[in-house]
Amino acid sequence: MPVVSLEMCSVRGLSVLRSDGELVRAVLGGDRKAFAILVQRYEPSVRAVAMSVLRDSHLAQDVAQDAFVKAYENLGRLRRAGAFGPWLMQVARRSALNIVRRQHEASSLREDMVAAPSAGLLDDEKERLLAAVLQLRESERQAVMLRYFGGYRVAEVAEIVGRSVGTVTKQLSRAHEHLRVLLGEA
Amino acid sequence: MRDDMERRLEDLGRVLGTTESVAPEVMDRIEQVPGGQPAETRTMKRGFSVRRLVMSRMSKYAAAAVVVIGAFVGYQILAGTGGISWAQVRQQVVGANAVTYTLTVTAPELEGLRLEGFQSSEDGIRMDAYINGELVNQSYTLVDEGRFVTLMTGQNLYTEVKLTEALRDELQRSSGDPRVIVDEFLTGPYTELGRSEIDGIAVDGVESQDVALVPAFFAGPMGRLSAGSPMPDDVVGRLWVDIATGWPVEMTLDITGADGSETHVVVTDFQWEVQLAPEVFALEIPADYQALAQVDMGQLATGAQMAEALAYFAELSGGTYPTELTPVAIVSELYEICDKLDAAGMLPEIDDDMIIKLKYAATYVRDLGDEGKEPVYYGDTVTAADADKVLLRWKLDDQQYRVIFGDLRIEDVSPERLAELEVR
Repeated sequence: MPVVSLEMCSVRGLSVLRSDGELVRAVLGGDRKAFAILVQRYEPSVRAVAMSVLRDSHLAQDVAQDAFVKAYENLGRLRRAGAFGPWLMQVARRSALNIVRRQHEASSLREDMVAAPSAGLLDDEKERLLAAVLQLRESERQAVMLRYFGGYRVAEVAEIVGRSVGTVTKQLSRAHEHLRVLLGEA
Repeated sequence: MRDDMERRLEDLGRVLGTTESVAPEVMDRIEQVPGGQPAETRTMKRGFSVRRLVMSRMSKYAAAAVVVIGAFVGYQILAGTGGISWAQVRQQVVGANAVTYTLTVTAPELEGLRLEGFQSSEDGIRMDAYINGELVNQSYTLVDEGRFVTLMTGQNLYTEVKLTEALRDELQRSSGDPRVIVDEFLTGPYTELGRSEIDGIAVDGVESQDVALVPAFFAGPMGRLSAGSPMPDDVVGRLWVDIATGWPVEMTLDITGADGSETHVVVTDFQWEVQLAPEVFALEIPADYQALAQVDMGQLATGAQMAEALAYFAELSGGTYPTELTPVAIVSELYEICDKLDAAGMLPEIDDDMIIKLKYAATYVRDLGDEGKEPVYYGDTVTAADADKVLLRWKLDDQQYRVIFGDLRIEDVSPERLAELEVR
């Protein structure tokens, strides 16, 4: 093909996974099954974002549901189809913060609800690690979440985000370094 | 490489993954979304318009001149025949100095792909690629500077290739250029379709089922790097030409793959013999872009850059080289290697620069074949352990061949010595 990037051209022909951008375009074209793939792909990451805000696994499940439905309803507003992952994380975070806000307003929870224990799902170390992951820069965070929370192989992450394997390996490597810094272990 | 942080992240992922999936509930709920579809409020950036740029930069006088030239040539093409002269169409198109066009591809993997091309014999080639209206890539072949640069917009990356004179000339000749496509249509076997109308313009057409059209449509620097893909055998191309002026109005190509997949390509929105503004070819690499790869094609002839890239591949693979030296085979085998290393927790950072250098090396070797330099590659049997076996060789002249051995040392040898080495 006389177009697109060097990596995209040659890799596309071998592609097994459809990239986020391709799936988003398929959904906008009326293919709802494509959205089910996106849900499956990002569910652990969305739940992780919700957990980090709410520290409650049941509420995080509800937020994950809401976030995906909101994302579907507003998919047409997404400027870059390939940016679905980071955009979805923002939707999830806003959904989780809305719940916190509503619960505070209703005074149904204590003021320190956000600091409450995570219903036994995550121990202290994992909570700190999750908080650090969420502080990573966007591209590194997405690579980490897909790789470790979504369980995708590096080559698959590259296909999903439309980057080369080299770029993803570098992002993961840098993410490890940044996590150590954020956790005070560097 | 697997480290403690990787293990801790995997542990965290396992804990987060133990919760029941919300997918069934989500899919149930989106069934209830009013209208059933996401809101149609997409706010894509406005696409760069070839026509807008060209016309805004073109003086009224130049525009008038195009009309006059077109009318004059049209007269010549029709004169004395009562119908269109395809030989004169070809002559006129091939001799055109500049053209802009839009190429749109509809294919299973490339839906919504559009390419805006600017071809100038004097300045070079620029191609802007869009996917669903989103600019994803811009490539420049700059004749005076002898450079081919690709900007990967959105990723803030670029690749830069320093071209040899021969390669620069070749890129000028075969870069998905509509002039080359027309040449391919009209020098190969075709049948006449007769008259029709496109957007109110009276046209005459030809149809060709020659597979040679495929590389003509998909040639160019990127096509070179995708070389090695199997050629389809079910191809239908159509060329429609304005009866009044003799300039092409539309070209289409329909390809049916062995698996039944269908690819449809349309080249249209032509502006023939336009005066392109210098800004079209004024490349400025944004300051925040990083180089993904920088390749000097002149250095490939020494073999050193090739050996460096092959060494990198062997380092990843554990001592083997790509079994075939084609861009497609290199990427395919690299992915298999990465998967294995990944599964073993041994995947290092991958150096894209080296992979791209290797892909360019592959195109260089293919070009050597085209030039009659007799390149032969033995990567399917020779590994890094085969220090004295020939891995790759090509002819320099009647007296000498350049040889890259299994241990990647480079030597120039006589034909007799090469014959001895190759029987080993």
